[in-house]
Amino acid sequence: MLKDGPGAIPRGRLFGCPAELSLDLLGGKWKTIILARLKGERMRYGELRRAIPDLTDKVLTQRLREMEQGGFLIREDADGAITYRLSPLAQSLTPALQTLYDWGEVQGTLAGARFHTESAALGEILAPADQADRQPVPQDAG
Amino acid sequence: MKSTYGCPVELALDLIGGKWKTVIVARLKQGPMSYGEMRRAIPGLADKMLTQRLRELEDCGFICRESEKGRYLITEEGASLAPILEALYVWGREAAPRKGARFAGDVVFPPLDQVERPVIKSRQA
Repeated sequence: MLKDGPGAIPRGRLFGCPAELSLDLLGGKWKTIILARLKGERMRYGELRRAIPDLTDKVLTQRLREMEQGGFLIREDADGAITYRLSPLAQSLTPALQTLYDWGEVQGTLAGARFHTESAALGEILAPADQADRQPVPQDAG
Repeated sequence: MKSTYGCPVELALDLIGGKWKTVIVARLKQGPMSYGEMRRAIPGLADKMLTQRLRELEDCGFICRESEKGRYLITEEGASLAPILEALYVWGREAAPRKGARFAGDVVFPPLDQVERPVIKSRQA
């Protein structure tokens, strides 16, 4: 059952087309990114925070609450750790999220943009927080 | 365009640039439209906003204008968004009854399994 809350639409509201309704329900860039991150897995708050470094704590908390109230996310307390996963409604968005991902990946490759996800795997660009933990690399070891 | 993004979805959303631009491209995917037709098709968008969004979409190469009639049409780059727009369309259709949303009276939708694939128009069309 869907809940009302921030991001919910008034009953009987008229939309121009289904894509407009979808975009209204998704409710902006960061919510869509959060949904895409949770696609296929359950994540803790801290994991989400690290996965989306451009989003501040305050905004992430707010968006997560709105999405929970809008029926997109299920918040669970697992052994003292708060985790988030997609509701069935949000899971039905997976094809749309996948098309955004695929298109973004192609455009990024064409334009030479890079992704934190990929660079983290390659260890090439580290987020500032990670850099602080990094051991200095010895210079001129020869 | 930034040089580094958190993930491909972020890049896609930054390039597409918001709800109304996406709705405009979705409309033009069905065929060329004059300014007036677009204004009527998207009643939720004010004149000033529509003009602004159209200019931005032209600047980023997703749409262009016919030389003779001045109608707007989608470019090949804009047409590359088709899978995204279709997925949003299908999901919106399915979510509407559950959310109690209705669509403007003049829009008649075919059954979902008969949703037309987009016709890709070249820049010179």
